[in-house]
Amino acid sequence: MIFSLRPNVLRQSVQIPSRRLLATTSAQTASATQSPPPSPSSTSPASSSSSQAPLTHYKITLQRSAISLAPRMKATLVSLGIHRRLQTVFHPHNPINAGKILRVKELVHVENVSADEVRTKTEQRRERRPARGYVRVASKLGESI
Amino acid sequence: MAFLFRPLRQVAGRALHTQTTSPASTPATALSLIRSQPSHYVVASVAGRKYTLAPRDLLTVPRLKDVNVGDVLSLSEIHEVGSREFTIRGNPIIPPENVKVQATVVEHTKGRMEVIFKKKRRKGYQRTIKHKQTYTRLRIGPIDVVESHS
Repeated sequence: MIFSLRPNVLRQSVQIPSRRLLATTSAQTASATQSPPPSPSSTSPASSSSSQAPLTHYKITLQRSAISLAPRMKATLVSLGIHRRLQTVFHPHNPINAGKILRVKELVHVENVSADEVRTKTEQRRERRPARGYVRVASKLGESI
Repeated sequence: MAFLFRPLRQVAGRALHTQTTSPASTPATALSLIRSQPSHYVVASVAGRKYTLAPRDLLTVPRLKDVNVGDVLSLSEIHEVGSREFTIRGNPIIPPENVKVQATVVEHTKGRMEVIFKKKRRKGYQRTIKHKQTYTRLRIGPIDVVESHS
């Protein structure tokens, strides 16, 4: 109800993932049976990885919370595996995941990403760790390094 | 407030020893300018935290578990080198072949005993926790601003 009263406010503040971005799913599944899939740089306008690797996954980040929104949207976020705002989750390209994104498209930021950029939760935490800042070079007690 | 009342010529006189020079044109000249000065400092990151370090400092950091007592560490993330009159700022770090700083692990210690007492009144809940925070102490070695022979 809230969005129907103030649609302009929502559109100014949120970048809604376009259907063109999610249309890589149907393009790839249709063309995979008939001919080799087209190059990723031509099909996906919002690609973030290098042009060589095929973009096979959605990188989904929750930008806006689903508090006080419909139970369906909350259930969709649960099925996507998103628990809190700014959490990032990776799902493969298929019509089911595309439909889930479309159901919560006002809350979510989506990028197309290749398979080697997919990270689990532990891997994302590891990447956030800062570098050690030092290297063990020698030991003054005669121990080997 | 006393500094407000010092006469202007005293302040000007103190600033005279520092001559204004144009910033060095190449990194090599900048390094040689800093190298010519007697004492230096370094801003380095250890385990994600930045510290301002000088030679012979004793640095206390949260416990480094991958290091033994007596180990010599070479600091690889140096953000800034400076002396009294010049500073070089890295982008984001200064390449390690230009500035070398080493630190020796002196000890793995614990802090003072902290007693944490929790109580919820009228509920029969109270807990006493005794805790000592663990630290590692590093002795910073001399700062070597390397002469680049290019």
